[in-house]
Amino acid sequence: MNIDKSLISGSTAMMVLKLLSEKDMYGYEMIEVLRERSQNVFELKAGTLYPLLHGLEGKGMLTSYEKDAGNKIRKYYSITRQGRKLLEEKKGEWEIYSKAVASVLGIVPV
Amino acid sequence: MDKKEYIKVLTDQIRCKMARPAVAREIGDHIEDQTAAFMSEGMNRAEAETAAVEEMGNPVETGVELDRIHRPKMPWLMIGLIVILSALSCIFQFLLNREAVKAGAGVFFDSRRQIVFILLGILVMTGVCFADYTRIAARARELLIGLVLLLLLGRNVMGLSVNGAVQWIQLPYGQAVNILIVLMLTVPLYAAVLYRYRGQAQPAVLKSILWMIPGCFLALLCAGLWMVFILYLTYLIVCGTAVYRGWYKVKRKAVLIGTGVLPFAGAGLIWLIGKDYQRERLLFYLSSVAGADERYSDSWPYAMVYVKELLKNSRMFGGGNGIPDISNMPELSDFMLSGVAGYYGIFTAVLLGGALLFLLLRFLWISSRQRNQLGMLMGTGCAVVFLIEAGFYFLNNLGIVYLGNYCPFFSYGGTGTIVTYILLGILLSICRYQDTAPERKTAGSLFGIRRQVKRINIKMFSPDK
Repeated sequence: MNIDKSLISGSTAMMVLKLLSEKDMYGYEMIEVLRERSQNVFELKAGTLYPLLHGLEGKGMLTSYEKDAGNKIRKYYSITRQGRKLLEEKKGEWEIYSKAVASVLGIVPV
Repeated sequence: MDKKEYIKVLTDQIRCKMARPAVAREIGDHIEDQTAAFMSEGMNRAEAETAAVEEMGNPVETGVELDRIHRPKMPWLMIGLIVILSALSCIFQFLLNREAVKAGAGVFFDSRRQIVFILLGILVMTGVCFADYTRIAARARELLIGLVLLLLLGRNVMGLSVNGAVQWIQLPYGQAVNILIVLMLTVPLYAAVLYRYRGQAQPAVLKSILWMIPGCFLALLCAGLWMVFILYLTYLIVCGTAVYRGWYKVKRKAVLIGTGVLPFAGAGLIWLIGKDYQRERLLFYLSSVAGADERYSDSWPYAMVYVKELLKNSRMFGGGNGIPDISNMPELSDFMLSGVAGYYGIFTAVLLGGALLFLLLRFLWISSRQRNQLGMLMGTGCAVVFLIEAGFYFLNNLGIVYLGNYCPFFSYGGTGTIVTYILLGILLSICRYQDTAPERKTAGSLFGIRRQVKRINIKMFSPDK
């Protein structure tokens, strides 16, 4: 399913933070989980994900560490307290925004 | 486009070369994972890799985005503060020197010489700031031992004896280097040595304690008990920070309690094996803190009498009432703040001291929040050694304790100025490369030699955990 990119871009950070609030993950794992959960709606490119992850890390929202996963050293990302706070803020904003759009379009929330 | 080419195009967009390897590794791992996934769906390796690279998106766009994030940032605020403090310190030392000369004392401050050293220091600081500090970790042990041996050799061959103590190395053209002050450079090296022991168990703590010996030993040999205190305390705080951040596989609480006890053990050791004058000096340092002024009233340094007199008569703004005769006050640069309080008001002295404290605490705060663990510990060490020196300097200037120690910016002297700016350069380099400095797993290319270091699987510190 093709979705307008502008709808996705603003919420990517929020979705990444949400995934990491559940458990620490590495980049490829995040893309896979996101794809599965959204039933293939969100097919995030690695080229979008890594700048986002590095940017969030630079702002102190995430930290990273290397861990042996099987025979491979992987770089895992972990959400910080500040990141969790940002996630709550973004969720609040998203709720207001989505309700407003639904209201304008006359969609009754399920 | 194959995987190698994709990574090259992407990393070529990142101008800061030190950030490239980590990005290349992460992107390479991602392509590998995607390739494996495609292969499990039935593609052969070549097809799977091509498809995986296509999945990645545009390498130039991604590289440009990453370049924007991984760019060295010049800490202009800190540089500005350093320049302002340097200028203010120079001006007030000049003014106090003029007052001392007016009162009949000898000249303690050569403004032209100090300005030359400050300018030279700023030049050195800029050079160090642009250097990749993470390379130091590669040869930290060799550098630390090399520095101490070099100083020891210089002391034995070209040592300058002043009042029976050999604390200086005589250089050509009438110059001399203060060994005790140069020993401050062992602090970032000590932090870099500890970085190499990350992920190890109890023996690493013992090794960390043993690495405190070279610097402290040389300071003790030079009869610089004050520098032994400062170095020992700084090393302990650096070691304690490493333990607190979970660098070693040890019971943190027990080791931290042990670290807290070590200062007393050190003082006890000096008491037991030290010479009589060292025991006396220890008692003297502790005398005012322990409230034993009376016992040492005869030997209470007359400089402190002047300090108390200066402070007693000082006012909030402007010159104090009845400034004492400072013609016999030794080492006036050791008492710059009390001098400023006496001649120019307490407010000015507090502003000066506050500016120094603000700079050092900000460096400590920035260092403690570094993602790069080497930067975190080296920066913490540099800031802590300065803070301890500043703390004792403030106590000296309040007439509470007389350690007569060096203080960054406020103490006069060529060696101190250059060493201070080298350490400031390291701190600035840590600030500058905070988004780019990699956690090094190889020994780096210092002296053009590469050496593989064991891969360490350790979780980096997270404030939440």
